[in-house]
Amino acid sequence: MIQVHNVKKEFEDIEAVKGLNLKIKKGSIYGLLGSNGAGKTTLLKMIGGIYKQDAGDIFIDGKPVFENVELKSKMIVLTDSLYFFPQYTVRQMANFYKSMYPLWNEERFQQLSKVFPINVNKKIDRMSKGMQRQVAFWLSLSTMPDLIILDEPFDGLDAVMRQKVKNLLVQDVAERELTILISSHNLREVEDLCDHIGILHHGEMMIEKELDDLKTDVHKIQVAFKGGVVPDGLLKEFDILYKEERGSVHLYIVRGDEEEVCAHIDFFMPVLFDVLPLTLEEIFIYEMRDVGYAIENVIV
Amino acid sequence: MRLKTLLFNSGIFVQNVRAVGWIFIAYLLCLLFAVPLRILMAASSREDYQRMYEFTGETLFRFSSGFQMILMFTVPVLLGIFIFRYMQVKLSADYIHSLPLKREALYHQNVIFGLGVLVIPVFLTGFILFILSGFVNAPNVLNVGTIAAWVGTTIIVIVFVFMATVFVAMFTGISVFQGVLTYILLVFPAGVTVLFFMNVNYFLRGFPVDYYLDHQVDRWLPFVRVGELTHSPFSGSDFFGFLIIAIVFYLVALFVYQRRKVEMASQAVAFRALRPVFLYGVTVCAMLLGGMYFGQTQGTFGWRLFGYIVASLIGYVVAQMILEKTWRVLGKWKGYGVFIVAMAILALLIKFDVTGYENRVPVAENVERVYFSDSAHWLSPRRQLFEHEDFYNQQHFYEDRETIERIINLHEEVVSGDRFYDQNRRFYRQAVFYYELTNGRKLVRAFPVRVEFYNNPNEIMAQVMESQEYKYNHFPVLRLEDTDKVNHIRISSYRGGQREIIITDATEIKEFHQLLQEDIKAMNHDEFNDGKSWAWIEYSLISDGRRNYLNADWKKSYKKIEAWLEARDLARQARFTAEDIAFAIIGKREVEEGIVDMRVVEVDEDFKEREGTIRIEEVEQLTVLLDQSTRSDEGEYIIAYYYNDELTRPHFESISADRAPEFILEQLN
Repeated sequence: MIQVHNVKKEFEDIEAVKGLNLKIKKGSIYGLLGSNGAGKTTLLKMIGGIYKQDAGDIFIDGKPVFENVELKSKMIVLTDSLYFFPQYTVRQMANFYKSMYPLWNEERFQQLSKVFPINVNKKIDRMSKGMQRQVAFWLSLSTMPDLIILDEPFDGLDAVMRQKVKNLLVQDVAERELTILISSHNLREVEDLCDHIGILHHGEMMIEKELDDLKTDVHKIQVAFKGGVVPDGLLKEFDILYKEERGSVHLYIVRGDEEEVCAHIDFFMPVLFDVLPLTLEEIFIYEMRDVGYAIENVIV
Repeated sequence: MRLKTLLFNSGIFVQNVRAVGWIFIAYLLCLLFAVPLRILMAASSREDYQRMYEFTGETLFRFSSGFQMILMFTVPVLLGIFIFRYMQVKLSADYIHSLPLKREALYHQNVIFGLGVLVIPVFLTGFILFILSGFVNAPNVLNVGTIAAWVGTTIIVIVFVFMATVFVAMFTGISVFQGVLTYILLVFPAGVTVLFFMNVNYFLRGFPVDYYLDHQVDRWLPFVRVGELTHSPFSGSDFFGFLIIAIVFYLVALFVYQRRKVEMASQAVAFRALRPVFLYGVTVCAMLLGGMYFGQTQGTFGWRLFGYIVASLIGYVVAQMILEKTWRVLGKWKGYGVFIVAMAILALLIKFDVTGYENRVPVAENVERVYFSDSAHWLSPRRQLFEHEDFYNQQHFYEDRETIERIINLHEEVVSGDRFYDQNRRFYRQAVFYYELTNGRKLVRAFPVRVEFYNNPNEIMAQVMESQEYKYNHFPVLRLEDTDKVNHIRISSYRGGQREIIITDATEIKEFHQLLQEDIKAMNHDEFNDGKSWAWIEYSLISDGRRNYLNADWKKSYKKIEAWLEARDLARQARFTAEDIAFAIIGKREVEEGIVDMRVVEVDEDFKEREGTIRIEEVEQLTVLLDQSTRSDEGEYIIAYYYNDELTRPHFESISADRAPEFILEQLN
């Protein structure tokens, strides 16, 4: 659905995005991670058709997005700082969205009022930041978008509301193949939501992964052998991301098919052999150490 | 559907109404107050309201004229700032441009909305004025024509100002700056022209700055033109001019908007390529302004240089601060260094006159005619004198081949003469040469010249002055061929008192006129400038039912009319002679003392008692004095003539040392 090809963007003297490529399939939830200043917001605004890229192409459904009314009418960009017209109530703002987005679904808007405990006649600019976020989601989901771009979307939402919103989003993805592009500087915040993760660093895409692949592909293994001696040829045919010795116990992080790895290790008859659960964060830590970065410098 | 989405979106409309609807209401109320209410107030409180200034013109712009003008130049700017505010704030800029709207559509909708906010109140006011015309009897200000003119003119001006604001909006990302730049834009063409010409004038000798500035510069100021609406309505070309510029603003703004980056909100200059333009534009303008200020107030090159450097530095630093949005711009001095070098080279190029501007003098055969005068004023197209008026004034165009050659000689002499530099002298005169060439082009030069250039001419100037064409231009009497229109000629003494004759007989008028012309034609340049006159001659003419006056001097050198007057015993009735004078008191003029002072101050009474004065009573000596003394302020000796008759106050004149007779020089030293 989204194709970003060799996109560049400069501000003043900073190159915010440097020759970036990205593909997002319809109906997927793509998490864009990166520290402050990595270029996430810039990239999202370009995909959202707000900023124009200096070079490269951005296509959505095969068409360039900039100044494309048709694409933008089926797309919502929720920026990190929200904007509402001054003095507008939720209802007035909803009317504005209704005039702006042809797919506006009044029924959905009414339904969602049960999820968001907010009076429609209240002025938005007098609400708390968290409530404003809720209004933004409420209005956005009522426009029945095909694509929703979220920049740090959960700031200010409490845990309960966070979960509610996540559920709504996932539900839309499941029911009508909504595509979501979501940015965060916090991996833990989005790992339960995304099916794809990309890490952006200094304007470049450092790693791009499908989460299912990641979780099935990388394994954390604890093994110990008799006498503490590691047999020759252990894990030779596998990609070892990380290894560590704790006395006679050896810790490996290995990439490969789980069954094959287990069979291989069993062959050497270890006295201790465990496959441990691996968090997404750990995967990235090891993957990135591979490319020469410490994850602390890239994401929180 | 497509057209509908292109032009109208109800959400944006509602938002605009909420954001700037108050301007609509405020503007309507202001207009109603400014015109219809004023008319009602005047008409209901005064019987003779029709004689009030406001009711005497055939225009509605006289009602609250200042207020109307302020409205025209503030409401559209305010509106333009508010409507395009969304572009200048980062959050709203991002938000609005994320909506499914093309910029073109957004632009059109906003501009059309803005035009509606401006135009509708004017139409409503016009409609109310029309209704009012049924109740208030003021036919020359309240009729369909004047109301339509008022509506049309007001609309064209506010649309023009609004489009200027919109135009500026696209180039900047700060609302305050948008307002400031809009006003700067409105004065820019005229301002820059003045700055440029004034400064070129300092560097380029012969540059006719008055000629260029007198021409049309202030007409380029919309404020000035609009201010004149109270007495001169817009012409077709005024309408057209404002309209064309407004349309250009509209199109350029659209073009620029489509290329503007959303992220430029809150940047002073929204296009990176324009930053150096802004930076050096401000620097150059500041430099020229500084140079002009010190050039006009102090005059010396040193002060001007000081002005150039200090002002350009300030301009550069301020522009940098605006661009960088910080006080800390001291690190960015390199650009200024480049600027200074470039300006120094430019100044040298002008100074060394690479195009040969200063020395260019036309060849006589290429000259169609030439204007030569001490001022470029008479070339000004603004002087719409009536034809008959021109006749009575000095004329400045020369077509005679010989005179043209003499003027070119003079021009060459001035060019090669002393580089008399005026800027540090307080007193100087000008010599303006304006050639119309046979190839249709013009060559205009103006030089500052010595104060004595005209009064004490050098040989070459004297040749010009002695040419018949110069005299013909200089003396209206020479241009008057037909004396039938002359009603009478009055000759009155310059020396005060009741010395005046009037010639009414047609034959005498003819004779006198004939002789006066001969006297003038025979005059040499010394006599031209000696300032010695007996009396003042005034022809009273009736032509086309209009009375006009034509003036001349009875100079002491005019022997023919003197003889003619003597023969008729008229001379002594028109001038004072030694017999009329009891005595004269002569004293040295003190420094800074002039005849004018003598006339004004009460020294009159005491001059007799002044120390170091001499008293002259002998008729021969008085005759010499009367012949030599003039009304000039410059003479070294002051003479007070005490009359025989009833006059109590003496008449003061002066005499210069080189003309003073022996008996003065001997006794007063």
